[in-house]
This record gives sequence, C-alpha cells and structure tokens, in this order.
Amino acid sequence: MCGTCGCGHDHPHEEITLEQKVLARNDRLAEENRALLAARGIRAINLMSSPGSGKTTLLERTIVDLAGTTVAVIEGDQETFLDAERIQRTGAPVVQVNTGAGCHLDAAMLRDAYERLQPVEGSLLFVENVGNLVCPALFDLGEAGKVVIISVTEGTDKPLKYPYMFAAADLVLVNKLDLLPYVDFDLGACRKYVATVNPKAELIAVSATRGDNLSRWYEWLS
Amino acid sequence: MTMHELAIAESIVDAVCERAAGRTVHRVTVRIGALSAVVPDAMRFCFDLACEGTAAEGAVLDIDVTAGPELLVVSMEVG
Ligand SMILES: Nc1nc2c(ncn2[C@@H]2O[C@H](COP(=O)(O)OP(=O)(O)OP(=O)(O)O)[C@@H](O)[C@H]2O)c(=O)[nH]1
Ligand SMILES: [Mg+2]
Repeated sequence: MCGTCGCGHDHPHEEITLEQKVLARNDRLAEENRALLAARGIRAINLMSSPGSGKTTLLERTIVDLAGTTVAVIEGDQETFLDAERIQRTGAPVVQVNTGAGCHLDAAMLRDAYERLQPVEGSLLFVENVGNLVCPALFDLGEAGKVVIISVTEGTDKPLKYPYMFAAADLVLVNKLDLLPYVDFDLGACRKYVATVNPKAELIAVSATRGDNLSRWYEWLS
Repeated sequence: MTMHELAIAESIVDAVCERAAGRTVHRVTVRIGALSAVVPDAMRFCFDLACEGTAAEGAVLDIDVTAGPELLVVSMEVG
C-alpha cells in the first residue's frame, strides 16, 4: 500500500516535472496553421467580439467594398448556419463551424474548416470567432492578426472588464458609431482604457452600416 | 461555470496522461496566473470532470496562483 495516498501500489510515487504550457498542443497546431497559411500566401484575420457587435455585418460590407480582393470566410457559432448564409449571399466562399457547447474556436477547428474551405492562394481569410469576450483570446488559431470589435451600445468600460481579450488585439474596432448620439459612450475614455491594457493596439471607430471610417479599416487590412 | 475552464482542464488531463504513459496520475500541480482568464475554482470543478475515465481519475489538483498571464502544467505524481 502506497504511503502517500493509499492507492494500493507498493512502489513509491514518482514526481515528474513538466513545466509546459497547458495549451501547448493548441499552440503547436496554431504554428502549423500559420506556416501552412503563409506558404499559400493567405492572410487570416481572427474577428472577436461579444455577441451582436457587428462582426458579420462588417464582413458583409467589407466583402462588397473589397470587390477586387479574393476573400474567404470561416464562420464560428455555437449553433446555426445563419451567418454562413449571410456571407454566402455576398458570393464569397464560406464554411460554418458549429462548436456546440464550446465557446471559442481552436487551432484544430480552424485547420478542419480550412481543409473544407480550400481558400485559393493569396486570399484574405476572415475567421469570425464565436461571440464571446473571454476565451477566444486564449486560443491561438495561427492567424496573422487579431481584431476585437466592441460597439458603442456595450459600454465604455469593456476594455477594463475583459482585459485578456483587449490585450491580445492587434486592432480594436469600435462599431456602430452611427448610434453614438443616442447612447452614453465615451470614445475618448474607451481609447484610454484600450491603451491601458494594450498600448500597442490600434483603434478605429467605424459604422459597419453607415460606412464611417471603413477606408481606414481597409487600409489596415492591406 | 464558464466553458473555457473545461476545455483547459481537458488539455491538462491530456498532457499529463500522455506523459504518464499508462501509469496512474495521483497528483497534478498547475500554475495559473491571475491574468490568464482562468478561474481557479472553476478549474477545480472542471478538472475532476475531465479526469473521469482517464488515468488521472481521482487525482488531486494543486493550483499555484501567480500574478502573471501564465498557464502551466508544472509537475505530477505518478505511480
Ligand atoms: N446601427 C448599427 N447597427 C449595426 C452596425 N453593425 C451591426 N449592426 C446591427 O447589429 C446587429 C448584430 O449584428 P451582427 O453583424 O449579426 O453581429 P455579430 O457580431 O455577427 O453577432 P454574432 O455572430 O451573433 O455574435 C444587427 O442587427 C446589425 O444590423 C452598425 O454599425 N450600426
Ligand atoms: Mg455573426
């Protein structure tokens, strides 16, 4: 009988040091994705936000406005094909990933979706993550850039309340600028909060429906 | 309970079971940074669930809470 835990074994337990990242496997798969995408000249952009901030609306508009660019889309949602159907109507190739109970995309799901989508060489690949401001930030997909979207209806304090997400962002888009006159949202303060958690992130305030500042978003993409 | 702790607990259990190579895992020590977006209490709950039916079933989870962003499997006891 083992003295430490009563496990029934008569040999002593062995202590094994691992000192490895919990998400090491995901990180490894993400690096494989990154290499694969780079080899095919595909730039993947991971779009993350809380539900309803306007990710799909922004993509619909972007695909139409960037008519000269080859765009492909991977849509992540817990359920339904609704967002993929919206993208399909723009004519861009799209696949839907349903995560079921899962609240984020991971590197293996991205790879699987990529194989199904087979985007053409040199395309701009948008990945719309599951609407959630917490865990998508933890899972590297192998993307070239992470974009976090908040909308003016969500409140100025979001960068402080979800610092992990904002810390991971390369670009923060503040969407629904057309609604600014109707809500209590302080763009200057929001900019400051973003800088507090992530001094390197760029911020562009846009309206995906009215079109404000979308040229700056397209510049960032190129 | 948020779901990402379950996904993370499953990653921990996968990692230790793989390394244990068939032996039983009795204790697992992880380091969770306060900036990692992982909540220790949720992690304990999810770890027990994730261990069910694996070589780590019934294993004790030790959590070393630190200030940074790290999320590490530090060590384990097998036998
Ligand atoms: N006024 C205004 N409404 C917007 C804007 N962008 C999106 N919306 C509206 O916000 C709602 C949600 O937009 P979606 O594009 O579906 O948001 P989403 O982030 O893709 O949502 P999920 O995929 O469910 O997380 C829709 O009713 C859009 O019409 C905007 O710039 N201004
Ligand atoms: Mg959407």
